[in-house]
Amino acid sequence: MDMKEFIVRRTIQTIIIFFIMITFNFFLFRIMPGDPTAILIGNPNITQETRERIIHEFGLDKPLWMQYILYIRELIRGDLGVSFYFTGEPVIKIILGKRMINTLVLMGSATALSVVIGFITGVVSAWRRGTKLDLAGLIISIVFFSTPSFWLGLVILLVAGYYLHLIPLGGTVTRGLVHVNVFHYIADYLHHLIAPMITLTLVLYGGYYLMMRNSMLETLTQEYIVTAKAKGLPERRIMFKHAARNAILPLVSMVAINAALIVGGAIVTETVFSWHGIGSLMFLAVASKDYPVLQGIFLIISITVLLANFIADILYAYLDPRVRY
Amino acid sequence: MKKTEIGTILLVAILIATSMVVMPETLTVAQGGELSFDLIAPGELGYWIRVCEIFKRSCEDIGIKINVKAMETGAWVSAMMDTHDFDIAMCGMLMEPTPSYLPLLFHSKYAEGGFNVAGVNDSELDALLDQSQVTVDQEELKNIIWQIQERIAENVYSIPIFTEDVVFAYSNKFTGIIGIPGDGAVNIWSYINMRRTSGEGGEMKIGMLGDIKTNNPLLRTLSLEAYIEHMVFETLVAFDANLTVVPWLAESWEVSENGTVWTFHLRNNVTWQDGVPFTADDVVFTIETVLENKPPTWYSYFELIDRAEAVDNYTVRVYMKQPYAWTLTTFATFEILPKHLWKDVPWNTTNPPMIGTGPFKWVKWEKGEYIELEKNPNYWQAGKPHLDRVLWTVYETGSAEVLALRSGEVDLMYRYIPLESIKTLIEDPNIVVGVSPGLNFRYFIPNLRRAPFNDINLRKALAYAVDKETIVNAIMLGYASPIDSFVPQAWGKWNNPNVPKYEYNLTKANEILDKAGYLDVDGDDIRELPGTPAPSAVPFWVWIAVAVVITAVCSGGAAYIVLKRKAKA
Repeated sequence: MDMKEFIVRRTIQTIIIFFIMITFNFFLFRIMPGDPTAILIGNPNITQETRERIIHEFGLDKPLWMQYILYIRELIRGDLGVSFYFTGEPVIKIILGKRMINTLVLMGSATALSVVIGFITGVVSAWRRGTKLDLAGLIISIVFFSTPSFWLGLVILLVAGYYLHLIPLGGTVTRGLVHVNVFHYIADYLHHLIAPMITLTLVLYGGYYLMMRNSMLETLTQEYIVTAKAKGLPERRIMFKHAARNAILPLVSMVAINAALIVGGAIVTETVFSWHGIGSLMFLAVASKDYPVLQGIFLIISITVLLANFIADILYAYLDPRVRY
Repeated sequence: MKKTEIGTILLVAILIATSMVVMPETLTVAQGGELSFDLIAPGELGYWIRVCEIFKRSCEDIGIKINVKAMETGAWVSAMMDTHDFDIAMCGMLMEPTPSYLPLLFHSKYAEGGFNVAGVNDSELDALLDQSQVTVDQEELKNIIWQIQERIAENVYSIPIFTEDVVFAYSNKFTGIIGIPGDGAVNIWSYINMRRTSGEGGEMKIGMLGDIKTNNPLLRTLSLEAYIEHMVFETLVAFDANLTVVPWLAESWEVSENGTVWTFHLRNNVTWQDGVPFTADDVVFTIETVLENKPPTWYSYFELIDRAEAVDNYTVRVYMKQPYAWTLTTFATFEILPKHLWKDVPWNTTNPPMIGTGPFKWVKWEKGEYIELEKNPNYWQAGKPHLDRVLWTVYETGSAEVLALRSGEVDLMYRYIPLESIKTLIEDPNIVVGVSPGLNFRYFIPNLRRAPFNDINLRKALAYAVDKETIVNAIMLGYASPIDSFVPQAWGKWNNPNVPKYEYNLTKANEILDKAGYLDVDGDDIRELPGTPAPSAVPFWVWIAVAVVITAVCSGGAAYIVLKRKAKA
């Protein structure tokens, strides 16, 4: 089978999976207990008639299959519906706006940083396996990997924000500040980005580190490494040029799987740092049973994961021809 | 097979056999029902669950078993309101400053799908509740409200537990912040009086937990939205710190003898923030907009209004469909919108013209970050407000907001201070902590549709088993008040202090249950329904026989396995 055929087959598979996924997405939220109008309980002056009227306005009194057909039709037209919680706001506008940019910046930078750190420490750790350095790397990464991110975030807020006054205590920009120019804005934004980014990097890098270390250990037993050593090549060159290059494949697929995080945001970290992103939106949407927004976020996450995996697969096939058969 | 393995199997068999002999109670359940009930509460609210746990422990001591079920909020609501599938529910309500809400909670017409979760069906109470809606005379009205409270408490239709206080904290660089019941620090009195201790001008940052959903008052669903928008838009009348209605945009008012026509005389020195004078037309326009479009949050308050007319520029007459006791609550809660700007936009616009008569002008809303307001220099109350700028800033967690308050990033935290942080804030010399009574109550609802809750004795016993003091002190750390009525003390003159009280008393609860015939007939410390026959004890030899059979089966099985292995070998 040649590359072209492989790509065509994977494309068809991806489309089928996509349809299964949106169906699943749709029904998943509707089999959850409770209904969205129940959230109005806080206001006893919402009478039963009003509640029924709201149910009718949002089409929640139609049979489920009908709602499904309407959903697919609107989806094809590019309409994700309107939010229940943010009364009447189109979902597309809520998701693909400032929140998405904030999340992309935060998650993108944190993922990039953690991949780089995980990669380098993983390679070095495997190379020096069994030494104190390796042990220290293992322990540190496992400690951060298993630390709850809300706790880590709060500790960073308390120490760096409250006691040391190094970072602000929330938001993406200084509230109410009029920025003199773009650079001023960017500086302010980056200042707010540091703390959540470090928190996420610490929590995320452990996974990449462990993956890289394992894969490296396997590669290091290969004969060509012995050959390289015998040739008297410099250590760093063998480590990164010969071994790491071959060991990086599992890391590629891990990043593809974690692509969901990059668009989906980190619910807990975003909440702790009051970061106006998709993660905190998702939290809000779950709490208020905002089906359209949840569906919208899940849809975008799923599309990203599908695409990322599609690309990773093709990359694999290119890197390693055995995959194609 | 080794000897040790056979030994292990035998040992297990003997253990099973003996355990069956020592725990025969589990099989001697009495015929008929035990007093074992499900208590449902939203799992999201951890402290509610702890309240339920305290109640559960007290109930254990009076022989009633309670299973606390922490539910997903939506499921909890639909169990209470739609399916009525619960034994006891813990519920909580945020209420307006006048007891206009009583019918919603206890009138039989709201028993199906409404807020009468208990399913109260009491025609005498219904009559009183109906009267409480149409009586305009204040003394008479108070009388009726008091009677309603008494009737509910006498019959224990629901069990009130406590009212949560509103705790707010602010930097000592500010003064003039006034707490009123329910809203705490964020009310019009604070807005016009708050200023820096160092003098006029300056800005104040108010922290908010999560952003608002909309800035269109007609689409409002959150109290936070009302707090912020009340800086811009104003009401005809207002509640003061004693929850008395006082003049605001309306200077005075009178009501016709039959209670159906309300006349408001407006101030003639008020202008909108864009300079256009405020007149009776604006009031009529606002009322008509609500009647025409029925925005969910507003409409239920306006439902009984038939129409409004402008008598002259500064006089408005509001005609009711029937006499309505709580008309002033409506006009103290909902703001007047400017006709000249709102007549051209759809009522449910997401980009409303934010021009009001209030002390502050809306500048901008940076979604998810902050809302900025600035001083209205032409405010109708000369010399007010004192601040140049107010920023409402978003934090997503209470702990982060407390840190922000202590480090000066926020000047006022108006609510949602984590209980465990209040002490540190009180000890902080730069912070002033204020406490206002809350206009809310947390209560237990017995499902009256189900036996045995239709028995008042059982309900009384349950009421005596609620340890309100411990709940308030251990869970709410004292920032709550125990309550005995559904118009708690915070509502001032409407509260009836003489309702029957059910103070925590397990002896009394036990007595009531004994007298009513709820007895523990099978000796498992849980009472059974009256008339349950005592179970016939299972003779001891039955247990021995069961033990012998099990031992025999197990050891036989073991022997079989051993033999089979040997045969194979």
